[in-house]
Amino acid sequence: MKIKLFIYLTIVLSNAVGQTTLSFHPKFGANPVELNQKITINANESIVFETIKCYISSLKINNELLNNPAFLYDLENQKQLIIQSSTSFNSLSFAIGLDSATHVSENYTGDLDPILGMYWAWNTGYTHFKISGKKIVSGQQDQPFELHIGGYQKPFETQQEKTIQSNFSSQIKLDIQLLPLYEYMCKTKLFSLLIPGKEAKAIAAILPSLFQLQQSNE
Amino acid sequence: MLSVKDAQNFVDYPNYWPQPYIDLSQLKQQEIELGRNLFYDPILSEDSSISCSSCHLQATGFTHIDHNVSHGIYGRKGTRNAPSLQNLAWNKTFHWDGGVTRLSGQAVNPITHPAEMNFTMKGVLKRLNRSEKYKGLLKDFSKEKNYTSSLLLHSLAQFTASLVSCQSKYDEMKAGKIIFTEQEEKGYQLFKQNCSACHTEPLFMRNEYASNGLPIDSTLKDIGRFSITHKNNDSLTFKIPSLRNCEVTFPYMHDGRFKKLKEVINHYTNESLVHSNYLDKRLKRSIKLSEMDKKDLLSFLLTLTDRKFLTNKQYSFPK
Repeated sequence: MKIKLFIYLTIVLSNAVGQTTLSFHPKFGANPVELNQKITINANESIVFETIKCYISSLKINNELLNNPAFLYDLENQKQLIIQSSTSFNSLSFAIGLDSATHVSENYTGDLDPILGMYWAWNTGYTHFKISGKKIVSGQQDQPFELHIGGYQKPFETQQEKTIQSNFSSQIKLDIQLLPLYEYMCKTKLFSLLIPGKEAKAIAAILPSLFQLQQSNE
Repeated sequence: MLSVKDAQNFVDYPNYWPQPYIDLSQLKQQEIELGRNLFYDPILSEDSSISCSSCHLQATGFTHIDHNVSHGIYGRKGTRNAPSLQNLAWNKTFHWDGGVTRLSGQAVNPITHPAEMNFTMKGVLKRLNRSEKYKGLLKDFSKEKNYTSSLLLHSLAQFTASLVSCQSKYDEMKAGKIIFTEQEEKGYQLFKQNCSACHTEPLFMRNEYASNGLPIDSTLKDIGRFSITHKNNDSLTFKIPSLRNCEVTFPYMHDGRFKKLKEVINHYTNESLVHSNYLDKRLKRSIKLSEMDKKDLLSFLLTLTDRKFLTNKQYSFPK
């Protein structure tokens, strides 16, 4: 009885403040991604991810901008993004990366702290999306990969926007499907990208398609 | 002289100077002092061997005298000449390629660069927060309870923004306190005719990038600002540096290839100037100077030396 009452109160209180949690779940095909764990692609090929980080900003619900600060997703130090809303919503938008004002804000606190490894020292601003790891093919030398996707100055801006429509519950789970990114790397042989430019802009265009609402949420 | 009250008259500059990009009235004496301590302390480098001042010596205009490119931790060499740190508040961008657009974020670069301090921001903060010396300085100079990236970076930026050089012989002449010698005056006129389009008074710089006709170094292969913008027009362009204190900031150019000012003058008078498609249009017209003209020009350049700046105890190693 006590447990039921606790659950009831939790739900009521949660709904009263309109709190929704947004969590991110990297996947490679059907496989959940864990850092430094080998994922088999086929009999000869596998992949290991060592870093997965990205900024989520400019959150909007029902097309209304929220005042959440920039949020850093880091698979190594996972946390949830909290959305406060007094109404239910069926449209969620967010930017992958940071806007130009944030890049030069000189605010080095919270998720913008350079100790978090996303600040670009040589070129003022932040990396928007960072992955690293290695492609392993039997009989061949491992192929390391390292993508630091960023850039906020014209004509090489890389911030992307994603909008998802759904009847959202109070726990939204988004997959970050990394398979298309891997296929892009293999196709273009772009295994190292550390600077803004045409290549970063081209690969950034793929990023919104990586973020997908988990099937169980739909 | 314009005195900035909030900085307790620490930062003065002539009232005919342009407005700085960094609001000097926002500088706080306590943060400047904390920044000064950090600037001179090798605690910022991985093995505690290299401080900011290792490559930016006050006596030489806060640059690395006699090193074409500076060396950092373990004797590792960089690829560019350490720039002089002076009048940074009037700079829109930093580094030879202008990649850094905020002075406060600049320090992350030397701290984390493998050829400079080779450390991490996390490592520096951990070390500062454990240091008895820095615990004491925190009490003396800050309201913060711990060292944070924000405090570290803004303190260093405050100190470096406070480095204002405006008391050279040239400045005294402009203020009407002295007059130039005949040779200096001749040199000044030659300067205005041939050099000031890029090295514009009173800061003797422009917030622009230019290809100045240097042949590309076949080892360094430095393409300049192109590496930041990827625009063809920026190929082989580098930031136009200030000539203030140039007497002591040798060697010169982005790769420190010239040891003497005379070599620099000879370069611009066409001895080694490469007339490529990238050459800045201001240099398309040949500069013709006689040997006597060159001596006069040199004589003027020496009037830009600011001994008070180079010896100002407020900028020196904190004791």
